[in-house]
Amino acid sequence: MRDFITLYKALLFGHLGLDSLSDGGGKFKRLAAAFFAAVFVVFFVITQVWLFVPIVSAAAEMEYPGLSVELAVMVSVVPGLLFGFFALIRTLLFAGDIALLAPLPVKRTCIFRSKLAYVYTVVFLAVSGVLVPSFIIYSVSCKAGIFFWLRGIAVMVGLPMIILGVLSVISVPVVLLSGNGKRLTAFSKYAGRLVLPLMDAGLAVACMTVGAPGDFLGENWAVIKSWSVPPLSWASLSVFSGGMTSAITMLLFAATVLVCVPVAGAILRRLFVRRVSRVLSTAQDRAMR
Amino acid sequence: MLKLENVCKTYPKKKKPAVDGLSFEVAPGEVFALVGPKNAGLSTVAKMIAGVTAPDSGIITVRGKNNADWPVNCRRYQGYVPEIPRVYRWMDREKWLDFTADVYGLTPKEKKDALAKYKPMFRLRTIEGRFSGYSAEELQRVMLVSALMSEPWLLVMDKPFVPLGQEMRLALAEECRNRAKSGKSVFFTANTLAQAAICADRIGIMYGGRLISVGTAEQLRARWAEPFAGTELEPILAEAPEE
Repeated sequence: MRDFITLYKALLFGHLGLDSLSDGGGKFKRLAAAFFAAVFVVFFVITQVWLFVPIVSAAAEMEYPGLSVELAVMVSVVPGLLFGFFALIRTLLFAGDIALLAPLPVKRTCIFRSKLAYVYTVVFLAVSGVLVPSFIIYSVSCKAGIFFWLRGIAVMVGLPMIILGVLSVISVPVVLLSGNGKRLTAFSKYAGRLVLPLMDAGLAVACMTVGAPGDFLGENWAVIKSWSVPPLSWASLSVFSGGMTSAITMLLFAATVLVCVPVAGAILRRLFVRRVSRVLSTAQDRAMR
Repeated sequence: MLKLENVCKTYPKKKKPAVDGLSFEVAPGEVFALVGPKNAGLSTVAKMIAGVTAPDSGIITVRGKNNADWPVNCRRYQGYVPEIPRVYRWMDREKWLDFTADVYGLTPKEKKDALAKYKPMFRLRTIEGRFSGYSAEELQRVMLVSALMSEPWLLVMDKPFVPLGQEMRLALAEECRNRAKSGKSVFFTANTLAQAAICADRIGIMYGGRLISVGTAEQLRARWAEPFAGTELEPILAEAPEE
């Protein structure tokens, strides 16, 4: 367990900590990078709230407040998939630190688990970044109680596992087609840094172009419903609808998560072992992180 | 302590084997060095012993345990200093040493004692900042301390003297001799007999992935000076330049 925590901490600080923000830069450069990252995050939350408050009100006026939750769950999948994919590429599928870790007294399974836990954390943070503000606005507007939050937390914990399941399936052709992954890793490194500013820009454009939220929801009702497919619809229904519907959809959502966890684990483990064998047979390891 | 039996390794897409039927043994309390020119297979041998690369055939045992397939116990017995330092570049010296100590399962007291011993030996207090700003010698000094921290039974080093200055070379040679006196073993590689002779009890000459001869520096010079004359192996027998 201690090895797992040590490796997980190293990945977390190395990729998400202050130290990761500026390669080869001094303290000032890192603080400047941290400042800009914070600005992007704050801007993201503000624009999201700006956009979501009228949407929740409009959905409530249309007597279907849950539509805003459905929208939030759907939207949260996008950053989850993007950030998760980039994290998966850099830390697990084309990990550059195998030659560093190989001589250390750490089990291979422990390395795999710590890397998977890191990718899960990244997806969880990305999903929560959209869901938490949305759930707060919904719970305040619709006076949702403790059970809404308990179900909401369950969805926030479970949804990243489903996203990991999807990502593991996507990873198979990606790994098979991208050789040693040199270009893909470099792309992931820089594209991962652009996701947040691009999402900020997208939200800002949406704020300016959506117009009246009621009209927006009315016009896009069918689109939102058609994209909100299971298990996303189960996730959102389990959060906002009460009683039997909530219980049944939560069970269905939990069952999907329970299927996704071993599937994702098995596929990603195979791909990781493939990467390790490749590094051990060639004794070459591209990067140092 | 360390035993290699008929170890072979051929890298993918290469016709010639990097290591071809290598066998030797390092006894407890012995400092053993492998010497050879470039592409002799020295680094491959060090990597195979450390577990960074896997042999195609043959057996490597450390304290009687087979080194194949990532055995954690084997790793605990040994410290490894690679030719090209492998570190998380975002870390600094302290974070890396903490990371290594945690991975090797050192108690706070063991870690404190080890650092009190090795930090002054390799003058780590003079190094500041993140790894990305370190020179090759500074990185090597940190790698040496992190490899020695766990007081391993077997210290494996791949061309450890190359990036070091004279003072640090002598400090490392002294440490190797002290380890041997306490019953621990050291295996390292070098490109010249002069580098190996600083502290090695026995030296093996490797060429084309094969072990040609084993002996002391004097025995090897006497035996091979004539046959190597005029070949690419001649420079490895050269005496150390006077400092």
